[in-house]
Amino acid sequence: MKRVKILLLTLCLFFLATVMLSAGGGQEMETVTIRWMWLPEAMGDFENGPFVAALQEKFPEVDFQWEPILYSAYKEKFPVLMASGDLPDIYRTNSQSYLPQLVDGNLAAALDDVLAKVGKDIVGNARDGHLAFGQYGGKQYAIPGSYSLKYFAQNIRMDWLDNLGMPVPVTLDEFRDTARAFTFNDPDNNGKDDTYGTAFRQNINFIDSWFHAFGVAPNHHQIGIWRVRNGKQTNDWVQPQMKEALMYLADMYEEGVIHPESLTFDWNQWWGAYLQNKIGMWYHQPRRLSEMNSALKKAGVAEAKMWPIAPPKGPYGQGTSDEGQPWSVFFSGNNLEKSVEVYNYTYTQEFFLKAKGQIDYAFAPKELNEKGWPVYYTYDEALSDPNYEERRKEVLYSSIGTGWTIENPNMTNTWPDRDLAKHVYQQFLNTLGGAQIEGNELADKWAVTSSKTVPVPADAKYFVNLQSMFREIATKIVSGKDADQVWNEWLTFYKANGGPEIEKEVNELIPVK
Amino acid sequence: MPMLSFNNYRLSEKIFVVFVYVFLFIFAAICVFPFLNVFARSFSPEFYIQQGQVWLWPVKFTLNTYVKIFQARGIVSGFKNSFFVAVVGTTINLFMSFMIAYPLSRKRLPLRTVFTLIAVFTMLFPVGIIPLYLLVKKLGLINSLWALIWPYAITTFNMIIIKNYFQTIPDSLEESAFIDGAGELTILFRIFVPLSKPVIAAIGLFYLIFNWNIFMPAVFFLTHPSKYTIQVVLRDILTQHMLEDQLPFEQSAMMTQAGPQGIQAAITIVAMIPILAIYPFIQKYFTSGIMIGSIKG
Amino acid sequence: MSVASRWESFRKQFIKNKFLFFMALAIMAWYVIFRYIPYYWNLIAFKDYSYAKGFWGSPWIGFGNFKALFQDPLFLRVLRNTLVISALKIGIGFPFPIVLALFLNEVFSRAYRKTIQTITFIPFFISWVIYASIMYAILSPSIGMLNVLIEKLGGEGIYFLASEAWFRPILVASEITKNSGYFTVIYMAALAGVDQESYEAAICDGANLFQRIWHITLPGIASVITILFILRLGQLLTVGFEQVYILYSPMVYDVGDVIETFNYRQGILGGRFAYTTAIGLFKSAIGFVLVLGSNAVLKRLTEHGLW
Repeated sequence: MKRVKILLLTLCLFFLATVMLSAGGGQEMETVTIRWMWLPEAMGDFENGPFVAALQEKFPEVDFQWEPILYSAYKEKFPVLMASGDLPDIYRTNSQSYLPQLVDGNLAAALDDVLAKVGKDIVGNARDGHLAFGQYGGKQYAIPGSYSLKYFAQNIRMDWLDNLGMPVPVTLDEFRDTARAFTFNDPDNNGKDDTYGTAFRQNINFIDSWFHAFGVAPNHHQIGIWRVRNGKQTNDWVQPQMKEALMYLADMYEEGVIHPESLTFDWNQWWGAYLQNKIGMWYHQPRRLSEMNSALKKAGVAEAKMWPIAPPKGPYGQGTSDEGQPWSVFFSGNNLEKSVEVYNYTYTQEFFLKAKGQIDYAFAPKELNEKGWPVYYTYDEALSDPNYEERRKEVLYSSIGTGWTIENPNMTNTWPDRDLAKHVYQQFLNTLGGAQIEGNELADKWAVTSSKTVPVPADAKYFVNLQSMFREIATKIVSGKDADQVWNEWLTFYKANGGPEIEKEVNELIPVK
Repeated sequence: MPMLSFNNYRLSEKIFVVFVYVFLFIFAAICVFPFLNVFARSFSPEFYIQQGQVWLWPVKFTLNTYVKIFQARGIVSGFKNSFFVAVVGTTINLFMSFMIAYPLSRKRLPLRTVFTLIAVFTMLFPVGIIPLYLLVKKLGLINSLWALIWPYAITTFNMIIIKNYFQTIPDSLEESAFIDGAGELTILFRIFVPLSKPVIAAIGLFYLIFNWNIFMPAVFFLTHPSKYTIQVVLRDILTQHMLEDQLPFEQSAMMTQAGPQGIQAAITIVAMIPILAIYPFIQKYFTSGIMIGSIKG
Repeated sequence: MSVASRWESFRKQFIKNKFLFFMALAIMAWYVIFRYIPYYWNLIAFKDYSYAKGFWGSPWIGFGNFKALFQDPLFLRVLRNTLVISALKIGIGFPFPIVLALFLNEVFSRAYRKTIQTITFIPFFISWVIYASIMYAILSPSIGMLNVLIEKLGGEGIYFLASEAWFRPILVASEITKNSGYFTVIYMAALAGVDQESYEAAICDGANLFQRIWHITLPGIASVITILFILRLGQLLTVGFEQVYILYSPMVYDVGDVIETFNYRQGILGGRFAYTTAIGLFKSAIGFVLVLGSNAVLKRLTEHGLW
């Protein structure tokens, strides 16, 4: 029995020991510990990459504590971190969802003073107009990413049009006819009845271009679009044209020109349908066209050509949706000056060279030239070079997301070496291929931006329900339920669940010019 | 276990037995088909899965899915961490559960009803993730595997089963032990525990599975990739794959290329492997009524 | 008994069983630390909680959140769905493993019994997330196993996951296949404890198989059944988050959105923690009442209970 008692005692002591040992690691007086959270799309060996090495070299006194959150876990983990008040010194999040709450909860530090002191590269290299996204109540709280928000385009299989001898559609009716032809006239000449005009990506995702033809849209991930109508800011979600648009899509769905299962497609199934040569029209980023086309070619569709075109011109409008707001970096206020100083360093020329250009996970440098400057894979090289995938993954794994990107025309404003600056932008241009260049232009031209880009106080209480219900009624109408009844229920719900309150606050916050 | 031989059964009983056999077969088939399907998919190239050709057996057998998984980062550390939580965690689970099930099973325990209620109450009122996070943080267990063990040390449901089992052990054993001068712990560990082998096997397995499958707490409490458990790593591989190479299969590689569906299937299998490996060894304890029979005798 | 004599007998009991008492107390410490201390957070159900004000700064609003709850048609909808689905799951899913265990008990071949038991237990191994993902793949309209089978048999593929008619049956059926093995193990262990002599006596008395099952086997495991039933009833408002979350979509919200998925969208995604905590408390309170109530009733009827 003594043995068991000793065992019990040992267990208790063990418990206490683990608790005490794990509580706060030993900190030396000199070092500063900076906790840095970002949202990698893939988990990799970042600690041994040039990015971290360059940082550590410049700041030997900083003990970096890396706290990545997998993008797939972010939506769940971040609110918990917020509610528990335990946010890292540097963290990345979606300011569109959280900016007011973070500010109100004293979880995001005001940056104006510290940026003036140690953030000149951040400020100097920001994309035009982007800093405004990180402002609230007149102060700067976040550093938004500098990637372009206007990056969706309507794409179509040009080779299918050729096979069918049809012109590129322009008007909504022409798009409809093309969709029919894609579905019923065997555009890929394979003798099988296995193609569709277009598809959803779960609910009514990724088909905004058709909505804009009616002057309304659900917007990216159904966050809603606000526009001025009759002198007031109004919500697209409850406009009569939205009902029309949904009924139009319902018609198309019933006809069979929209892939019937796409209402429940997840990412894989959606991509899969396109890569299996089944769908002719695609609403997505021009950036991924090369991937799509090369995959189709490799799979045996030699003539595959998914290409960007203008979105359908409908009775009430024309356009695509933008992202609304870029992902941003915040600072909790702990070790504020040092954190901003470190962060600022990642926007500098010195860092760019030390990190060998492996900063922006969207673009992979191939090698360094004789001057030691990173040279990026060109569009053609990306398609043909067998090492491209490996290298891209390397960059993906080794970089920490900062929002700095070679895509931003201003990104080298503060760099002393102007030749290098020119070189970097040229590198970016080299990464663009035909489809991307055209697509970016089209996206830029047709992107519709909502007038409401930050949450209003009433959103905290009502937005989730409204968004959820909107998705529900939209899919119901599209899949064939009684449109009048569903739409009226929606309007009733909207009025009873915060719709008018939100409208009032939006009109107060974002007055019509 | 049937008491008589089949021949001695009346007609209605014979029909019943046949029905039983068939019913069990069908149900078992329904249970196992999804897994055969998953198993088959994990060894098949993406092309055939997408064509709907993969059923219960791999089509054009390939190991590429598994290769892709085991090439991914974090697999080794993931397994190590999961093993730690599984082994240490389950041991603590069983220990703690026995230590409370025993007193609660004794009618002579002062405040027995109170203690039981305190325990059972927690089954109905789950603990929120936010206060738990704050508590774990206060205890300094963030980014420690112990955060996956201590907050979940007792699953009251399992403990109740053990308690109930203890209550079926005859008092005579306890009484004679007292007479022989044994203390409470002796009785627990020298008498009750050895008699509880089927329960240890069953409950131990339940705890093991629970520990092995922990996911959300791992997401919340672990901050550095080196501490991730295998479930987190596998989920990461899956989303990785979803974002990166979406079926870029070459004409020639079509017959062998692994893709998201296949990889997801392979991940399922890999996540299950250790448990499946242990199960046969523990299984014999479930179905042995012999252990229990000896008590009665 | 008077208070004094009650205290006296308690004292006696305490002195005799001091060690046992302290054993229990030690483990109760775990309950206090890891369960009861975090319970304070549930108080935000009675507050108008916001991130800004935090826990201590948010004002008390009494039952305001609960009132809002019952006026929220969305909540009432998920409450209804939860009750219906749960009733189906308990009504069909609770007896099922019992039947399974009884059946297994009548199997002659040990090998057959072991095999069936092993196989039916397999689904329990994996987490709901993975199992639901498997279901999702199997029910897929064009390439899922089930639809391929249907089409091979000459029927037309069914878009299961978008169908309001099929969604609830799918939830119930998948839970039965996943969990039955687990409970069957518990019942089998209990069955092994039934006195063999009672059977022999019954056979001598001329009881047939069905009578033996009804009069001896079932009562023999009645205590286990009762306990599991009471515990299951306490979970009446819990349907199983992962299962629904992976399989549902807005098209089936009307029949498939349950309290837990609703809570998830409101709480984790929407940040309305006070609201979701109120829902959680409501669920628990109902569960508590059910457990107490059913325990009292069943104890009176059958002398078996949770305590």
